[in-house]
Amino acid sequence: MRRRQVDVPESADQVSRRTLLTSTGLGVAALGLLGAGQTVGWIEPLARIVPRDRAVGPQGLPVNRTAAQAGVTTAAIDPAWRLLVRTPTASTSFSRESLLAMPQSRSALPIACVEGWSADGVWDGVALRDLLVAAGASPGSRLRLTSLERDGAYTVTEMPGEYAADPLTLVALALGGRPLHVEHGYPARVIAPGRPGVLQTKWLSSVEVL
Amino acid sequence: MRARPSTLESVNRLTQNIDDLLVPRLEAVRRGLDSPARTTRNAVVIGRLLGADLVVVLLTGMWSHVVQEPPTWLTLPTRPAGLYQWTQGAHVLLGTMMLPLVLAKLWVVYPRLFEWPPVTSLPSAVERLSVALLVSTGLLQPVIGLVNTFQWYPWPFPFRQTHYALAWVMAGAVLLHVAVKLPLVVGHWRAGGGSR
Repeated sequence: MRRRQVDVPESADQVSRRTLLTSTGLGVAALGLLGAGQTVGWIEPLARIVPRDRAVGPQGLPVNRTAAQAGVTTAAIDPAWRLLVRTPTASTSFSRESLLAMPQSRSALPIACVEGWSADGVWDGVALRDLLVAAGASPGSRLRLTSLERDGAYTVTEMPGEYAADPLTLVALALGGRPLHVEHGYPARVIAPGRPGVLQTKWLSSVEVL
Repeated sequence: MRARPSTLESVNRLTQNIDDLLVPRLEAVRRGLDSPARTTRNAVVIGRLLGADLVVVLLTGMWSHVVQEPPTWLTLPTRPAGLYQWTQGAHVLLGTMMLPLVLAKLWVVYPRLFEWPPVTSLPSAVERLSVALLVSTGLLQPVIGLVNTFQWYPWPFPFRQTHYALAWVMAGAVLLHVAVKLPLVVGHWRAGGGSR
């Protein structure tokens, strides 16, 4: 049967294979360089699409959620703060001074955010396993961690026993040799190997053995 | 005296008219979009880079999910201590780098959208549906992921759960797409392997 021909101008679209592949490669490489600056130090000046500057932040470490955002500016510096460690049989509370009086451990661990950036820190504090033993619990217990934070998605989180047992996991009291800044979780925070930043509970208020 | 046309004849005439109207126009659109760079070989070249990228992004994404919601039966490795730093860095980086590849792949193949008839059989209907899922998740996942790295949530749904659920949809659509296109992929794996 007869079909009507529809006239169209001759294709103006004469992109060559080289143009296609070169421009795609340039796009990929550009995004790669810009994004990699989040983690790879030497290309950091290029990191223009990075959500936050790694160098900015108290104690040389960036902050994702500030004390003000978390609503803890008063609670975090309250001298009456105690860390409550609850086991099925007992409850023990620790002041910051009593935590500092315990044997201190040092861990070099990164804050690795789910959003892709990461930054290394050197933390001092009480190894979580030592704290559990001091409170009469088994060092490999599964834990529920609670922050002073009000209505955050990560106020209450759980920590599998393997992290609690790892000697690198700390209830950190200091960062870079100086007392923890309130933006980094003063009076005490959790830092564990291999966990995303959102689970490195800041402004820790209780550790519950499950 | 002419007999009244049956319903079947009327339907046939209607579809014939639609066909007559659409076919030359769609052919014209495809002729207009014809380009020496829109070849099956180029679709394969970009597609396999995209596929390799996707495998890493999918695995690191699933790892991030497991670390955040560990099943009780699974004991997670706590070392190397920087593991999550590397997996999540790679996830965000390669996920962002996926965008130009997705756009290039779409540019190479999108004239196929104007194929007529759009569906020829049940398998072809499934294939086209999977392409719809593939294109929509392929654009949505890297875009909402990138926007999330800026902690900007211009949507009413929770990011993490949505990103995770869509990852399975995307993985399924990719698998189906690769399965359907496998003969073409194999035929054009090496340069000069097939005609366009």
